Amino acid sequence: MIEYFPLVETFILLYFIGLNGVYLTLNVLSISGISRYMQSRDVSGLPHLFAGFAPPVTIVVPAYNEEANILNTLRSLFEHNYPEYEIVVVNDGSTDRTLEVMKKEYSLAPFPEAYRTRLRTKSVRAVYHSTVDPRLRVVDKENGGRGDAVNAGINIARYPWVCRVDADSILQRDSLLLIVQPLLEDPTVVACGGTVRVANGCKSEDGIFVEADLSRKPLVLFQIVEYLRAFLYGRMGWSPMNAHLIISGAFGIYHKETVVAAGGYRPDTVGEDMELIVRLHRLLSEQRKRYRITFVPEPICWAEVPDKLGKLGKQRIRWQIGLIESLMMNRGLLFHDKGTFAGWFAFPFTLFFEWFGPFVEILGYIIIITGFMVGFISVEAFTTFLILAIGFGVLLSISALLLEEMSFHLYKRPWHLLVLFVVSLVENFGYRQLNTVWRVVAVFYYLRDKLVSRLTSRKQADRLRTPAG
Amino acid sequence: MRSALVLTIAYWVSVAVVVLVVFLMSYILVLRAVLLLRERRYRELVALWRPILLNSGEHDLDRLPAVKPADRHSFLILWNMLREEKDADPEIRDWMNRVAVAVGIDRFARQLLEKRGVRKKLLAVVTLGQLRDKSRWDVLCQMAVSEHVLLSLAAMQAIARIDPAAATPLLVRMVMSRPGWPAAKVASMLKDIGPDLVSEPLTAAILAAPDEEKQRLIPFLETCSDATALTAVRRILKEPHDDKVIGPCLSVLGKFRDKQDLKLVRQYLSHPRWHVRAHAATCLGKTGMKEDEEQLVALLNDAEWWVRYRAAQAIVNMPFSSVERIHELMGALKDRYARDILTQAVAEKGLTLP
Repeated sequence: MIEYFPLVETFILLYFIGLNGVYLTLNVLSISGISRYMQSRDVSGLPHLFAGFAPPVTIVVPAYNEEANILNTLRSLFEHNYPEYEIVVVNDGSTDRTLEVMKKEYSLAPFPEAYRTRLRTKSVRAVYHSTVDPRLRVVDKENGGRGDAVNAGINIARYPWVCRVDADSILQRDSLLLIVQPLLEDPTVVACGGTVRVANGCKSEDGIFVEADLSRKPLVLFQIVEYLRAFLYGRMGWSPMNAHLIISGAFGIYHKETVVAAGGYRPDTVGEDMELIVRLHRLLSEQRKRYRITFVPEPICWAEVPDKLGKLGKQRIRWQIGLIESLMMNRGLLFHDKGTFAGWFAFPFTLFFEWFGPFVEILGYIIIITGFMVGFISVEAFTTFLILAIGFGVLLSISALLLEEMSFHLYKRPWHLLVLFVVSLVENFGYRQLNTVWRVVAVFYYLRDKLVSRLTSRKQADRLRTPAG
Repeated sequence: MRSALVLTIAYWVSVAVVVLVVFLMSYILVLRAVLLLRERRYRELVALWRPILLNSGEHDLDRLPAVKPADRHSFLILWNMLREEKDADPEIRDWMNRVAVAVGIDRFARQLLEKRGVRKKLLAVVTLGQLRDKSRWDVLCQMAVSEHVLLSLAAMQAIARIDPAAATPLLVRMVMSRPGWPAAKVASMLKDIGPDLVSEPLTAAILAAPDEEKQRLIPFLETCSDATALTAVRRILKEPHDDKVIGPCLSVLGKFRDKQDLKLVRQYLSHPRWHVRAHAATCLGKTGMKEDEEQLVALLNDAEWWVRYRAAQAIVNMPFSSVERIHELMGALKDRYARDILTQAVAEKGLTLP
């Protein structure tokens, strides 16, 4: 056992170098990408550039038990300064009064929609339209999950671009105008995501974002730095290579026909937003189509994040299961011979560092601590590796803060910066490790569910094979 | 020995990381300080110049305050923002152009054009276009054919503003050769130049283009004069072409609504490609006559949803359609899908049937 120790140690070291090496490369790519974006921002911000030519958009809002949020969301969506759009809310079998509050506020009346099932969904009970504002229609359907609900919205959408917005997302008045810019600049774009930031603590009025501020809760602060890392160099770094594998369900725009041709959202996965994007990469590269899946670095969507540990844990486990399912369902993309950066770089990176990574990290912690305790690792070595690991963690967070400062600097007050500096340091003592544990737990849940479903289907198959009587 | 080496490397890397972290933190603080300073200066600049730029009658050109060299870039951004905002007001437009020349911003823009950064170049290009400054025409023409999409578009727009007649041949050539240019932006530039200058060269170029390019280019005919566009479309439809070309042609016919084309449009109602049938139905909804109603009703039974939908919209939107007539048609429909789609189109239009 002991003779394997140096081997394991070397593997963990290589893993550490690889992971941080890729992150630092993404960081450098993001700095150049953000600089380019900011260069054109002054001029493309001038109203003339795309005035009057924004494509009509259908906004689809899946809603399950959103009684508390849905009216605010709708109010904010009606405030958009966008020339032509319609809103389709899909009430996904809510058990609360989501439908009733909308009926009352927007005088919904049954609408004789010739419903066209292009994507299969759970059955639709009724379609309503607002007699107050003709831009609003509501689909009332049986519960089938978020993906299923968005599919129903796509079936009923009248416009060629579908924008998916979560019912609790907070947008800006110009969010839609900003998210369509890449479609106007590049006709090969089939999907575009918006940068999501943490809404907790921020000021908003009637569902419209007003001003960024920091929450007082440490758990939320950790997530603010995490979101900065994820969006400013995670996605910005992959974007120039057309290789990012996820568009957040909170806010993203899709070319309807491309999504329909790909079969829409899969209702049988918890990470339907990531799965769709990975599938689009797979199918479009298989078909050798010229396409781009891109994103807008401008912060245009604000989402409430969990402020309780239990909720956060559940969310992270769900995300990790979604990631694993997305990769497994589209494993054909990995090193695909009609190769793209998504298949040759982003997919293997995600597979190795995001899926298997947590195990290596946990193993690393165990080995270093055990090695130190039993005397295999000296105090100097232990301290050095600790400083190195934490140092890289802080470096990545601080460079995300640098990107934010170079670009949008939304956290205006000087104390905001100081708090974020402290959070970048403190999150390395417990928060990151907790995330790793949740991700490992998620893998076990995933394997357990897989096993159960395999056993169930085998039993069902056996039962079918058994002659009646 | 090996472990000692690894430890030494790890030690120095960790020192480097810590130094880098401290450096980045300090750099962020410096950036913030610079930003706050810049924002304060910009606020002062706006407070001083906004009233001057927007009140043409109240200020004397000879008594304008000077723009400090450090503020020229910010001034240029403010000037461009307001210039865009007030583009519809010729008096303010003219006044702002005179102010720009009086404070030497035109010279500054010409200097920026020679700089390396794209941001500076873009700002210069837009400004020179707004000022109708011809002195850097050749440089702008070179930029218009550059690989950088935003820069080439901005330069093209600038030269189209400076001298529309001289810009048209280059614009048409670029429209043909740059499929990557956003169609919306191209249409906007063609519209700005106007049908008098654009119609002939654009039509000639589209007619000479191969079929796979025609599909992309035909929608731009909507920016031409009706006579030229319709002649071109009729000519294209007379010859055998890829089916994908027919849809955009029918769209153009629908836009100009010439009854003369009715016969041509009707023949596409039974086309084997559903896209063409849907386009033909929409076009007929705009230009059709009473006798076309029967053919549109027949399309309500089409196997393709979009054709049924467009036919239903056409029936409801025809100028002579009435609630009574639609009610009568609905009663006569035997197919459930046809009835459903017509009911939807009626509801969308907000009509109430008896």
